[in-house]
Amino acid sequence: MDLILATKTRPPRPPRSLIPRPALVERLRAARAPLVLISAPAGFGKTSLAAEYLAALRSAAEAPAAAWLSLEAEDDEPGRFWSSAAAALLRALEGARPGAALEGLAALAELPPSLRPAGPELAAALAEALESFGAPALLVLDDFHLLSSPELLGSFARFAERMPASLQVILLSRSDPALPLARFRARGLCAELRAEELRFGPDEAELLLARASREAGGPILTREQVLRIDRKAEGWAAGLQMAALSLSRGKDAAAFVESFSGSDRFILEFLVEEVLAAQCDELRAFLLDSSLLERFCAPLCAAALGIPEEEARRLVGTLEAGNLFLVPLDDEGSWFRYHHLFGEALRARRRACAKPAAGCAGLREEGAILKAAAAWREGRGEGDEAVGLYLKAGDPESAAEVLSAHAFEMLARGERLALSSRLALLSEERILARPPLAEAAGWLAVFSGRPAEAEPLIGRIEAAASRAAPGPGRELRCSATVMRAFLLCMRGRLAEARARAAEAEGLLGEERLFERSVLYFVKGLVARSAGEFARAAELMQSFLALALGWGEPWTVVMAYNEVLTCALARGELGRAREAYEGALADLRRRGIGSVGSGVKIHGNYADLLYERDELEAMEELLEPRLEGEGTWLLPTDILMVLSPAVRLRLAQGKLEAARCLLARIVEMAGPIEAFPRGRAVLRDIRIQAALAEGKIEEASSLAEAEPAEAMAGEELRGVRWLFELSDLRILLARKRGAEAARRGLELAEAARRGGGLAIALAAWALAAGGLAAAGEPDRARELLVRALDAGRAEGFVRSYADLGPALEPLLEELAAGDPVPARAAQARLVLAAARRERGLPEAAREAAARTASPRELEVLGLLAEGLGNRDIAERLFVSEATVKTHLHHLAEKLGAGNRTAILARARERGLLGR
Amino acid sequence: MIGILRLAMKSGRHTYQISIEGRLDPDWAEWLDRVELRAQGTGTLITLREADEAAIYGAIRLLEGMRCALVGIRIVDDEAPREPARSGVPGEGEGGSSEN
Repeated sequence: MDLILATKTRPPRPPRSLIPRPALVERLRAARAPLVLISAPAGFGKTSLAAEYLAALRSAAEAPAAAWLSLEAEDDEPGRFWSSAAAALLRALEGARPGAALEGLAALAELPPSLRPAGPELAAALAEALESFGAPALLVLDDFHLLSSPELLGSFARFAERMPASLQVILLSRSDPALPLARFRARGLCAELRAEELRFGPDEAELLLARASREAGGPILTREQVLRIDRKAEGWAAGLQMAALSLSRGKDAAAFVESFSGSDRFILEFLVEEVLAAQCDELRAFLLDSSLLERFCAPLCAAALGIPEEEARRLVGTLEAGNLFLVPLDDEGSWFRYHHLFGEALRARRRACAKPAAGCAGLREEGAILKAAAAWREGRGEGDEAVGLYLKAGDPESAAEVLSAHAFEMLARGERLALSSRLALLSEERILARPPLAEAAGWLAVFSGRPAEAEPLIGRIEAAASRAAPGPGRELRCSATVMRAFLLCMRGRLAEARARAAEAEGLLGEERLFERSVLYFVKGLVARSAGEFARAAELMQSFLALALGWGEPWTVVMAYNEVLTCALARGELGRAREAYEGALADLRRRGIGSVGSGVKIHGNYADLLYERDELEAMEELLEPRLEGEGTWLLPTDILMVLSPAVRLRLAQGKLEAARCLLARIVEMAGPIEAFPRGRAVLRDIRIQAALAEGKIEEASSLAEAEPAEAMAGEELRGVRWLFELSDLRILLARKRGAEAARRGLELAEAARRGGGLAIALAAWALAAGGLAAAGEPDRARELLVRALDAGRAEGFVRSYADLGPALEPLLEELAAGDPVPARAAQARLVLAAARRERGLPEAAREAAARTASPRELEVLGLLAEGLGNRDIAERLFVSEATVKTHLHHLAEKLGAGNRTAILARARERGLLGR
Repeated sequence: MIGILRLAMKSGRHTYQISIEGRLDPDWAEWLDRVELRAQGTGTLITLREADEAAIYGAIRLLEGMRCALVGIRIVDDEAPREPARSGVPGEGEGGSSEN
């Protein structure tokens, strides 16, 4: 586990000088609500109380596994937040029940940042993983007030309402978080502890002051004095603590109490002053100087403050012993930070020192301290930390230098957001002045999916390239050209993309693995769109090889996917299956698994299963990924997974379900539109769906709205073939057999020459159907035999079976009397697939009705409450289209036609009486 | 806004009044309770009852998050309304209070 993350997920030990607060611990233990909010300003002892609670749990039997996450400003982003939460839970659960199946959590925690889907999906996946884990767990989120991202808080709110019963979350926050608290309170979803409950009463204050005083060798206070201090501090734990620290050896208690009670300055200001005054000069200077460092160890302090390491060690030790608000960060006792409030107060004090005549001698200059700290970090190879420190030190030049050395590494690890946020802190001039940074910035923009922003930036990069020294300038310009090629590809401007790729190729050095891989991708995509499938396959293999060498997760997934797509297009189904299995194994090894963008691969495999008529396997593969929960669909992946699903439903005769899925795809059509192939696939399934319902006119309109001719030019030939294939289906439906046959043969020939066997096969089959319809049975049989033979070895089935009645008589003939046994068997197989039950047989339907899935029951319940689809969707944390799908399933199972009927039937069957 | 204007809140629970420009988001009731709204010209006067420091800070941040333009805040208790103090000490929510 990454070092910083290890620190953040380490549950803190209760402080040595803890005043036990058993009543509050009991309140926490008794809290039944899923969410517990401890909301009080800084210094009220929230963290200590939570730590005390966790310690108490540890000694109890049957305690929940307790996870801790100390949040930072950088966690204010859904991907990072949920990933860290998963890591925290993983750490706790592994410890509690070693060996338990925690793959789901591990996948979440280790998911490379560039593959993370959106917040809601992550949250849903976390909930799912925890549900399957089963045992009770507790998650403490410290400093929750640092989160303000509406996206993040939105996903958290929904998570809170849908948490598995086994999980409880405790939020520690300085102010009420921007969550729908009113709603939570109304629904009993949150229990609260607030400032007034956390205040130290006089007895607790007396304990605290007495103990601290004893340890510091300070004066003993009378009850009266304690009461006065407690009253002035209003039970504020930090205030009491600091008051105690101010009462050091030899201090006059009465004088202190007088000046404290009578002071009209802010307590914090007053007390920090007092605490500092109570220390020796050396320690005071150390406190003020070291407060600039967020995290420190003795060697870092030594380097930053310019003192010998021994001295630093001694001073840190003194701070620890003196209860001076030091929070240990690791188990070895080497790393610390100050309690947030104390650290902030020290820094404020330090800034006040900057004004003349403030009496703070001996403090080093802030910039110098931070720079020295940055250099120390840099020396240890901790680039990210160094960059942050240099920026704070007001030295963007050094920051840029360090980032420059690390930028590509960060890209390779998929840390796009982190890199992006660092770059955002540097001026563009500085970025453009350093080729590695300029390139990183360019690629980030290109991958962000916003070409409108990326293009101008690339222009500026090219300008910068011409200003740079000849060598680096040339490389930069080359990179920019590759970026342009990729962008053009994504925009479907393939001829231009091809030209740019060619331009860049000559200029690229061997060692530029990443750029070369992108070039292969571009060329491969261009070749495939142009219908040059053999060449495309070769190019994509090279893309894969380079992507594996470069190792960036998102690129690796993309490469595996492209190789699969090519194999399928070439009709190499056996090879595709091997490639799929190999890809899965490799992705799992790399810790990518099948989450996030990895889901694309399953879409391709689903297409393969469909062709081989392995519909049950297909159902199993797709079902969990369709329902919008625990799924990982990014907009551009939607099509890859939902389009096979549409075809599956059509083959199963479930036309309504197919329509629902189609509607969902069309909802997200935007990003799909840019990809020519995406448009082809979408158009095809819409036409198939229409034809399946017998709506020939609708199919025709769809076809005419986007005619094949629109895919003009050499470079879109392969895509045009897909359009033409769909058009052939319509011709056949219109019984224009002769035309279908003629065009089908032409298409098949062209596709076969290009190596696109899958298209050729389908075209032959369609042509055979056309000939049969045109009354030319002999030619039809000949063509069908040719089609069957071409696809037998690889197991093609549905390309023939989907033609339904058109080919049935011929297939029957072949099944009964073909001299080649293998072909006869194949024909029988195809016939069975074509004749697959259009609806489930009665017995199966009954069984299905009895077993409504838990999800469907939930929807039913909410329906009975009178909620509309949109509200149901919100409650259940899914899309409206998913709700409609569930309703459709329910309707099918119950044999009902509308919502009222669904409810009536459900009541009859006792599905609602709970 | 919190960065610029340091408000010293009284400890304990008080009734605060926040004036904003324009109206609140329709589903505000999900987020804020123990609250009363009153139109104030083109703006809205939000009265937050029994709010402690965490609650009022939370409310201010929530309103900022909703892009509401905050015009003013004051404490309104049983006594006559008074302005909370302003200070120049930086740092988030001191938690302590001062006698003003």
